[in-house]
Amino acid sequence: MKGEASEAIVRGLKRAGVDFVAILPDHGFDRVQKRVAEDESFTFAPVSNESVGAGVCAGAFFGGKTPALMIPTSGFLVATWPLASLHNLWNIPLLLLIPYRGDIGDAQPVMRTYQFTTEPILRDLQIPYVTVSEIGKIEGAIQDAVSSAFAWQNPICILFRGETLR
Amino acid sequence: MKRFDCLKALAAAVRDDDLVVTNLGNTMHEWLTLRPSRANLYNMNLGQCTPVALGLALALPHRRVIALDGDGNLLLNLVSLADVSHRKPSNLKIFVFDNEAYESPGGMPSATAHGVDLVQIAKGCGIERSFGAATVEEFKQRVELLDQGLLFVNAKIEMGSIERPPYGTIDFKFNKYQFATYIEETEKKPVLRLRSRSPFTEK
Repeated sequence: MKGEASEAIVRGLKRAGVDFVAILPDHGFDRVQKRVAEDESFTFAPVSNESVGAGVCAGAFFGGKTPALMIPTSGFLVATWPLASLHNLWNIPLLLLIPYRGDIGDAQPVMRTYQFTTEPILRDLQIPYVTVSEIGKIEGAIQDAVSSAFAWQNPICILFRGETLR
Repeated sequence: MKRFDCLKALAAAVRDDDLVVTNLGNTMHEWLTLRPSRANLYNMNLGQCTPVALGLALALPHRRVIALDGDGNLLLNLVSLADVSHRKPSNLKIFVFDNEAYESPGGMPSATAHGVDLVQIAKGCGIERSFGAATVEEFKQRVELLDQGLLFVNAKIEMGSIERPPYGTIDFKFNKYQFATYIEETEKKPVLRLRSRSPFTEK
């Protein structure tokens, strides 16, 4: 992800009131993850497993935080258990940020699987999502997603693609 | 040692404003019987009790947060102990009731019945105050450490539970709104935020 896109994500998180971020390191998000880790306006929760990250974010919500979970496309599969058994069952808001590897144009053979898992599983988990492919639309998308996540008491996902990842 | 006797000792030591996160099943019913409170978040499914308590502890560092976990529940996401240790929230207290079995689905032995030592794992993760308890007296000694930073206690208990009270079922969403509004009242800040700002709600 470009520095410009990373900065737009950090600005978007702040504008939307996100103050708690759980992260599992990912190549697509490395710059923004470092920025968030170093910025004291976020409570930073590094995790070793995306399902721990989803649980930690649920706890943070109950503590009055506005949580975001930044995870790799592959890690979304690991997070499905708490997203189903906790967020879906209890109706818990969450901003889920995923760099969309496996998108058409992604030349990494290992990412192919995520073309067939990411969007169908989001739909199966009843997690509304938007895809953002222009850097100029990142901030607004984050603000909209957080608004809907709380109004609907439901996770909302943003999939980053196109120029935001290149 | 029976879990109910341990929980009785813990219930006598917790403050009214201590936040307690429980796992599923018997622990939840026993804790509900001993300490009914809006400050309890019940029924955390497998692998989620300690992570949710960790998030709560990081969000509210001035409140004591107590996780009532089980061996099977914790084993599913054992790495959560490493993530607890990464941040080491001093307000987090993890109690694991280790009956060495998956009791609810029939009692098959868990890995702790075959030599897996959760205290050593917690210590190995860097949680210095990690202790076992094999008797109620030992458990009470561990409970006395509640105010001394990050704590991990693995209580070896026998299988079995109290008879479940007829009122002992709480709907997830009811519990959510009870707990969230309790936090709103005691912390004087919004949690649910059902109406948030957006271009559709703001002129």
